[in-house]
Amino acid sequence: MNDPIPPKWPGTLLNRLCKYHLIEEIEGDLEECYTDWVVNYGKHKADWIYTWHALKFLRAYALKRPQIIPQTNYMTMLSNHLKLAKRQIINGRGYTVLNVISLSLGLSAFIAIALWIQSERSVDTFHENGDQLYALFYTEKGADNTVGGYPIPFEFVSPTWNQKDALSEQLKQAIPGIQRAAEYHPLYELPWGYAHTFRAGDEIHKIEGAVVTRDFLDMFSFDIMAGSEQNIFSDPYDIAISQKMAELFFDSPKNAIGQSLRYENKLNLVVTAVFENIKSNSSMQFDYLLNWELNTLGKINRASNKWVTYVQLEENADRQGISSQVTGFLDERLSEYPNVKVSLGMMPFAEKYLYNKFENGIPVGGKVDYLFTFSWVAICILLLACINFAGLATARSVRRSREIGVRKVMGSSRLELNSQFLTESILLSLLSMFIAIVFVAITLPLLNNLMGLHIEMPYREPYAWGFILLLSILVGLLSGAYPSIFLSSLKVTTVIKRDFKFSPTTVMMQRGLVILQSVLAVIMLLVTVVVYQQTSYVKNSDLGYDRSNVIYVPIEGDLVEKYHLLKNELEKMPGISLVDRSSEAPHAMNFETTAPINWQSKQPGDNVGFFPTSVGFDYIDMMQLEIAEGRGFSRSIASDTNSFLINEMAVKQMGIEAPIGKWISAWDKKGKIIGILKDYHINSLHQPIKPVIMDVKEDLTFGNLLVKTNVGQTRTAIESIEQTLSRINPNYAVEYEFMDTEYAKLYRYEETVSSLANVFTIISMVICCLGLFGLAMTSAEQRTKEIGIRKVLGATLLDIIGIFSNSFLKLTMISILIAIPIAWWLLDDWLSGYAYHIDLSWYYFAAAALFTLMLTALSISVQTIQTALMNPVDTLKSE
Amino acid sequence: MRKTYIGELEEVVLLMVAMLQEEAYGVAITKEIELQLNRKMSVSAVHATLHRLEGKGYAQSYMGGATMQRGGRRKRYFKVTKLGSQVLTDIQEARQLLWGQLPPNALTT
Repeated sequence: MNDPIPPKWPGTLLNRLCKYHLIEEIEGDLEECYTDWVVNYGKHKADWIYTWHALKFLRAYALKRPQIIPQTNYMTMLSNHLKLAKRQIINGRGYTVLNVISLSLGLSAFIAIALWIQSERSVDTFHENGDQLYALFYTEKGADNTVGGYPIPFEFVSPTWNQKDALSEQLKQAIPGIQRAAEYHPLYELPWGYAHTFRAGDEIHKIEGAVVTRDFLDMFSFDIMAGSEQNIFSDPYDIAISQKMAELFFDSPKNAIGQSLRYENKLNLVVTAVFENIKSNSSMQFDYLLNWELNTLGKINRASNKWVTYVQLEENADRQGISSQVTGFLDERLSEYPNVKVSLGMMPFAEKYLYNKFENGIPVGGKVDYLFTFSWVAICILLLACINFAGLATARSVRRSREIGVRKVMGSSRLELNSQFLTESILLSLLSMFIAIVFVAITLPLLNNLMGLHIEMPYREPYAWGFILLLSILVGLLSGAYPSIFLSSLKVTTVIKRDFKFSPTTVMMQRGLVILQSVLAVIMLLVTVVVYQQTSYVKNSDLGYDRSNVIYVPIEGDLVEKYHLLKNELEKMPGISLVDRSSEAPHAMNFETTAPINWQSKQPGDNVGFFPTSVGFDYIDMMQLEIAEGRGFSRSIASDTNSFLINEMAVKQMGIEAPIGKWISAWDKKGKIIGILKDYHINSLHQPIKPVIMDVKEDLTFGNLLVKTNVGQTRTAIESIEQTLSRINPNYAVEYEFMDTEYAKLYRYEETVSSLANVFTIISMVICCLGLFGLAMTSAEQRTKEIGIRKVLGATLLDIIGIFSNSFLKLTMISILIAIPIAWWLLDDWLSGYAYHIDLSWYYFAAAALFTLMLTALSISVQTIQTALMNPVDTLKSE
Repeated sequence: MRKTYIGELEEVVLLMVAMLQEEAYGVAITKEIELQLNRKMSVSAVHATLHRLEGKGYAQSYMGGATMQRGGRRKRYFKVTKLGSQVLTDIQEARQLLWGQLPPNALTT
């Protein structure tokens, strides 16, 4: 009878882990029991019981004790290790320099990225009540699509447009558990915002600030340095200002309290508090805070019709419960909009900054995605440097093999050899870390400047130093691990006999490392190229209007009344060709509205999110907008003040046929459609074409004055503007923006990311080249004799270079082939986030491949040519 | 009386070793314990106890000869040492001493 056989692996495990002299009896007894179990329970169950009982033998009495050779001379050994490491480092200078450069570059990139990520993550985390603070966001479900955002359109909060209906107050009263709530509305943001003008005595300045409700300063930790903390907004005309603003107007924060500030030349405000300057780690930036009641009274030019609402929950409040109450809070009041459903959501305040992208009306990502990507970039670069180190060390082992052989003969254990090599690599990594820190400290101001960041070196944070120490040891271990295991495993006999060769696995490993390295570098190169292309495409593409040589100035104060005077006078000044106006900055139109727009044959279900803009008569001329059908506005036709232009997208979405001559209305203004504008971009290329409705209003109390300057006469034009404006509107400081630079600012984050990517790609390419250079160096060294013989036998210089380059170029080719699909996949995904983007054409990939190949050839050629030129007499004379 | 470091389980196993004489090895002892005392123990637990007894000097082990059973592996047999039998008798005597002094109806309640 064939005896049933128990499973094998528990036995193997026992053999590994248990004392040698116990194995026999344990296995014997187990097997004896097993035969019983098979009889009693059947084979299947017996296997399980057997395994279980075998595992139970892994107890203290049976387990092997680790054999520790008592060592009493740790310090001596360590100092010996250090001494030898020092010698090695000095002895192989070229190799050390290569290693240290690549490691410190890698570490610099890693530290810089870590600092950037840390600074981005620390934004808005300094508020004492941080865990209880939430930002509300709205989700608007329309018939076709769902949109959302943090600023909540006021028409959803109060369909009757009653300014007293502040959402914060209603929430506080209706939902227990909400301790505080506040509105926050920065007055300088798009679409209508600008820096408002303040005056005290002769000092006139334009300053950016916000309007908030009463709870705001209690919720957020902006420290008050002068004035009362309690009654900051007891009167609608109270204002809190920053230290900077206080010093600007009143020399010191203390002097500022109780002083009067003239606001927009129409109100006198009283300073009741001075707060510390807002640090760069706050997402809310403002130099003054106005009382919300001023807004309720209609005394402020708002920047838009939507604002952010923050809530603070009570400690230990039921977050889920409150959240569900908040969600449906607006349901009842929105019966006027039958096709729209608006719900509210709560986002932890500290995360609002990082999660700024909405998909289907819910914040899903945004900046946090970039942080995630860059963490990977940092890890990749560090990995590149570590791989370099490992590759170089392994290649160099040829030289050290005899040293190792002798050591082993003298009785050195593997453990000791390992610790010797690891000491060496940790020493090198500490050295590189030191260089990296110095390097980062020097280049940080440059980086900050370039990217518009505010990163600081955390010199005073003990945890940062701890992290750095830990990181350098980790890098040392990581990059030293493979070479040390490989070197210490060399067989004494082969090494001493000098017929040392890399085993196929080692060669595979070496090649694998080179390939992995090049793959990472090629991917980064491709990403950088495409990101750069996309960014410049976006910045330079034709938007359907001419934004060059346009300067714009907010219309405020006396300009409202004297617009026509100003236009006439300015147009006579040197350097200026045309003056006009528009209700919104033409490059960044942001105001969307649905309900107030009606038209002939509008169906009840029609919902078109229009972007309305009111302009002057010369606007079409100035912006060089094209008219597809009909005509533009004309001064000579009296009815044109009541006429409208719409764009092709609007026609399409309205579903209107033969639109010219039909009536359309916006709010209480009704008139005929006189022309169709060709579609043009009204905001950044992130957004698709939107429906636009345009009319003429030259008496609007807000908006922008647009000045078209003559080419090449910008300076004269600016002088003309400053002169004329300060004469006509003396109570306001002159502030102007260039439309093309402001448009470019819409891509500031992409710009930052793009330049960061540039820097880090260069770093990783350099690291990669250094690695190849090092490998070529060792390989040339190994093959000196071979080359000598080849030359003797008649090989030409080119032959030898070819032989050498081949193996490296082959590896690079493989890497390129691996990298391209990965990069394609990554980039395709990234580009699809843009409404308008470049196509991934083959020549980006071809160019990157060619570039990498050339770089490979270049980095190995120096060494190769040098070796190929050597006189065979010198290389072959000794044996 | 000399203090004897022996637990209840150890005592049982040592008694079994004494009982089984020449056949005292892991599996046999496990089975016997189950048979006599209706007490289920795993082989590993018995092994551990046996080795502990050996460590304390109450038992001594020796390897048996190879047989065709159990894949040709030898058994480790145990026998009670002099010290071991001393301990067992000590315990027994101590108990008897105490039992002898129990009043007639001390355990009836």
